[in-house]
Amino acid sequence: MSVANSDVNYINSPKGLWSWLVTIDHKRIGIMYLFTTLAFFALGGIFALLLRIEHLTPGRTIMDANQYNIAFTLHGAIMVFMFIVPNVPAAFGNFFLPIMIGAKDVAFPKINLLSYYVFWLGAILAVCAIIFGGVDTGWTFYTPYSIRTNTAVIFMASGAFIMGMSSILTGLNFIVTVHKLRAPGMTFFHLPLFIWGIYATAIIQVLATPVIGMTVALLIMERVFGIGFFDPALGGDPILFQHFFWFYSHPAVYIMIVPGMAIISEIIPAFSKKTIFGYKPIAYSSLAIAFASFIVWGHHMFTSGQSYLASLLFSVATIIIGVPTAIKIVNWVATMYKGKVSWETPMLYAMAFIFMFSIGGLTGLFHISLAVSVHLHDTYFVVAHFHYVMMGGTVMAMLGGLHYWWPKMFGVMYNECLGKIGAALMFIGFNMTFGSQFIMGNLGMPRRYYDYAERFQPLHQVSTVGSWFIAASFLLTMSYLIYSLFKGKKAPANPWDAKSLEWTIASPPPTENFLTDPVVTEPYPYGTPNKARSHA
Amino acid sequence: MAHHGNHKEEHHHVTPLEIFHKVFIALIGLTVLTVVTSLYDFGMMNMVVAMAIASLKAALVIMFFMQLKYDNILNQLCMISAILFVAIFILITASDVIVRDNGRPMRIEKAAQGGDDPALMNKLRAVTDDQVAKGKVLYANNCASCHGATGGGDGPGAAALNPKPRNFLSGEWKYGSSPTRIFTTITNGVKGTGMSSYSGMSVEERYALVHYVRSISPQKSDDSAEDLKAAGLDGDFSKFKPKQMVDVGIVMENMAQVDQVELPQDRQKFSDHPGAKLYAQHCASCHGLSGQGAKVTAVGVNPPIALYTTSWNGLQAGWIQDSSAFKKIVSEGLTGWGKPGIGHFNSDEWSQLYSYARALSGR
Amino acid sequence: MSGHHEVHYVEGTKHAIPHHFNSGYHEFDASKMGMWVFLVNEILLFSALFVAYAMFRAKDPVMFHEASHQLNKWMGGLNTIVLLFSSLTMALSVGYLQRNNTKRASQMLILTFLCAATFMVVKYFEYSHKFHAGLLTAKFYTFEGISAGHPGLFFSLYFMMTGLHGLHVLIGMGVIAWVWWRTRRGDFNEHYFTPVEVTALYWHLVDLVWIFLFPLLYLIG
Repeated sequence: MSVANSDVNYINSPKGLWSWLVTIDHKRIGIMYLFTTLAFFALGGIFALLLRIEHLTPGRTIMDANQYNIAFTLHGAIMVFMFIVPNVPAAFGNFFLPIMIGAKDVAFPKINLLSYYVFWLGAILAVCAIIFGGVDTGWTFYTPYSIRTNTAVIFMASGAFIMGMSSILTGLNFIVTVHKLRAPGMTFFHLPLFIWGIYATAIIQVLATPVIGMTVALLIMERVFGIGFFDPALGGDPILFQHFFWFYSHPAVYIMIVPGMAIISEIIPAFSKKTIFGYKPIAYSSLAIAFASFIVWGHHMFTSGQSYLASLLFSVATIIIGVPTAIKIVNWVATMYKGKVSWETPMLYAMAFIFMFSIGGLTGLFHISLAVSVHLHDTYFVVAHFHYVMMGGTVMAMLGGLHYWWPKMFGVMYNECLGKIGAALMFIGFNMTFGSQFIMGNLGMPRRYYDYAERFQPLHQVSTVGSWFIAASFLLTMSYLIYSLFKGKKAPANPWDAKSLEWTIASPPPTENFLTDPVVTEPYPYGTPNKARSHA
Repeated sequence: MAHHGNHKEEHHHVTPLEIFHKVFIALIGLTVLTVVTSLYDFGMMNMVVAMAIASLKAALVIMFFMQLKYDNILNQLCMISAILFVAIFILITASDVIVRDNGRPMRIEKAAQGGDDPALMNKLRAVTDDQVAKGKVLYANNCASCHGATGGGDGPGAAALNPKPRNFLSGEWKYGSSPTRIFTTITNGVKGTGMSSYSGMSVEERYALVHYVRSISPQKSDDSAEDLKAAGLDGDFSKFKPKQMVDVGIVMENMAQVDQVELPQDRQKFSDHPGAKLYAQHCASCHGLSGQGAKVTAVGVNPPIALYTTSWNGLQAGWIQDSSAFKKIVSEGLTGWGKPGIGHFNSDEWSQLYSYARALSGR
Repeated sequence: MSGHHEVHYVEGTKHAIPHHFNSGYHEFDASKMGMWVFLVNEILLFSALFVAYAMFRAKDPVMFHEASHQLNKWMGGLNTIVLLFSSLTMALSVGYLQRNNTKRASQMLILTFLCAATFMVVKYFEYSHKFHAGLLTAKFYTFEGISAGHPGLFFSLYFMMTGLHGLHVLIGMGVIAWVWWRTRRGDFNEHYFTPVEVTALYWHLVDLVWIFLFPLLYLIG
């Protein structure tokens, strides 16, 4: 298969802002999603920095208690609904899923564009919530407080509802695309593992997201029409809200992490120059996680007063979900064994992922044992746990993927040296910020508290200084990436000598993706050097 | 355009139109059937019958109107997965909501510590300074919040309780002051009051409490033979094994609940009587509009109970014949019976209320 | 290097096959699967309400029993038959298109639309009766004829379930009107009728939901 690096590609043909806004090209939609979600990431990050600065000293530092409640709610809601859920599937998934299975586009390109604008509609409503006084319920909207507070819950809830619809449309598109548009020879077990991950994610999106839609819709109805489902005064059950909420939001945790794992499954073989170890277990484990994620939601509710029976069932089911997760980690490490490992920036982020995600995963075991969970519930231990998974996991994977695919997406190379510095800063800053929170949580520092006892101050200060390292790392990363767009060295078609289909076409790819129809024989063919594959 | 491969069949399935008509007739038949069955009462089976017919109708629509019977496996899988995940959603949620709300607290048997050893029980029954000291600490941790730090029945929790907790300094005892009697009270709790069972404590701890409480009371008696027999201390000791009767979460939930009263639907009698208004404000919510008696459920006590107030019609009880007995019962309540103390009336109001209650009893 | 390639049309229509599909059937197949995946999502959307129904009913069956007497089962039954009939006509319209009988197909679509409208009119009368009687959502519930429990919850469920379903009927009416217009314009034939097919799938789901709502709300008395 020949590669013709040409000046005509998806970025410059056709030209003009309008052609981008109405594009149905999955690559352009992916790029728009990428920059949109990164912008929201920055917004959510600003709230996070403010929270950390507030905790520099006990009592008031820069904001009062109500502003603090609003700040942590907005940090959570923006990060969850506007960054981490849409980011990897909608940005990288949109861009690479069709290319990696040898298709010219997703199954429904117009629905794809629609999902982008639906996302914006939801995002605008969420921003309205910020403008009209913010929300102070926490991103979980727990009743009955969320029924009674006077803040802009309705705006934020409708924003979440509408962004959920966008997420569903993306998931629907991906499921059909994977089933119906694979190139000849691309059987399910020739799919790159990134596709398996995105596919599993899409299934969760379609099955779980409608329930959060209904849940927040009912919350709005509760506030407007007083339907009483979640209001004990009217005969309702506030814990039922938590069931509804977590029926989505626990699977949503896997909407966040499985795509991250999917990226890692691509990066590790590419930088170990070795076929992935245990292809089928990794593929199946994605589906296993997708299924199991639906039967564990109640582990968020051990102290809510739910029945012992339910707590017991959820605890056992949650232990089971550790198995497929561990399978993935073991196989990644085994892939590197006796490989020719090179330490470019994407691989550094992948290593950070494995290290921090393992910590995040293992501390999860503390929470699923019923007795220990009571001690740790709603402490900084939980905060640290899910940041190790969400940020140490998904965000590291996202940054790894961003660096891995940056040459393919934009046809330019970033500065490798600065990349490594950025990754190192991130690693140090992250572990300072959240490692200290494990200790604080175990000592009894409750989460979502404005004030704290003086003995926690040193740890809070470590955490705050760590957050500045993270911010510095992001600023550095974004500056050299944006710089590379204008002044970067031109990227070859396959700078990493990787083997999946996206590397067989030009960087950046032509609008049509494939000039000749690709044929696939096996995934990750590192053992059999394929001369037809171009190493530019 | 040779790629994207191997489609086995590239044609649309065409269903004969008669099938649609037949299915429609079947659906109408089933609709009539479900309406007809709803006119009869099968008890618990009502729901099962209605859902069975609805599922059959749904299956017909899915198989023939939506043509899933002739469709490919992927689309069939879609439908199956939808049903599967709805089932998961319902069943697991039910494992909490339905189990949690049936009001039957879980019993957790804990390993006994000497509860079935007569020698130990008799040893513990005898007071020692060591035990009193130990009991004092236990009292401060477990009892003082309601019974008061000094035992005056005036702890911070007492304000919310009705009936009020025992004042140990008064020297009055409702359930006996002998060690075994107090031990039984601590073990079983007092139904209808805020006094819950402390059988989760070891026998030794409970006896330590007994001796401390006795040490601060001005008046107490020793164990008689009947006391020991009534408590079962003359033979079977197994019932003193520590066990936790009631889950704290359930207690909290029930304490927070509003009392529910099933009142007879009626109009108030003698509504122009001067005491009628006072009665309606303070008594009718439990005793009925005209003293007919009522069922009071989910009162804020532990364990949650149902109370029945008796009808006053033709009542011969002492309190209805003696205004001072009436005043005492109304103002102090009946500990252990769920009757709260209601006071703060002036002497005119007392006599109006007494006279009204007598009128209701037919005097 | 040109991004342009030959445009293929489905036989006998002006429908251009998008470049990422092999054939008209390939597109049909993918669209239909897309619709099925969407229906899964719809079922899960409704499921939250069914779960709420199951939980509240399990907690207070007596209240549900009494409250459901306030619903008119004959109106509900009429609506059931109307919707079942509309499902039949919808299925027939696809059947006629597959036989190239565009005229009958568009007649069937009109019938479907009219049934949907009838359903909404009956619903309107039911709702206005509830509004007058004070049978409203829990907070605004003022009806005094039911003594057991919190009957407002039942009517909250009633309004949420039938309201969401009614919203789907309204959206369905819009889509049916659109495919009817396209059918009349002659866009469809035996080789290309994807929009009608997926609309039919959607409409049958709306029917399906009602098949469960009817006994759960109207017939438990």
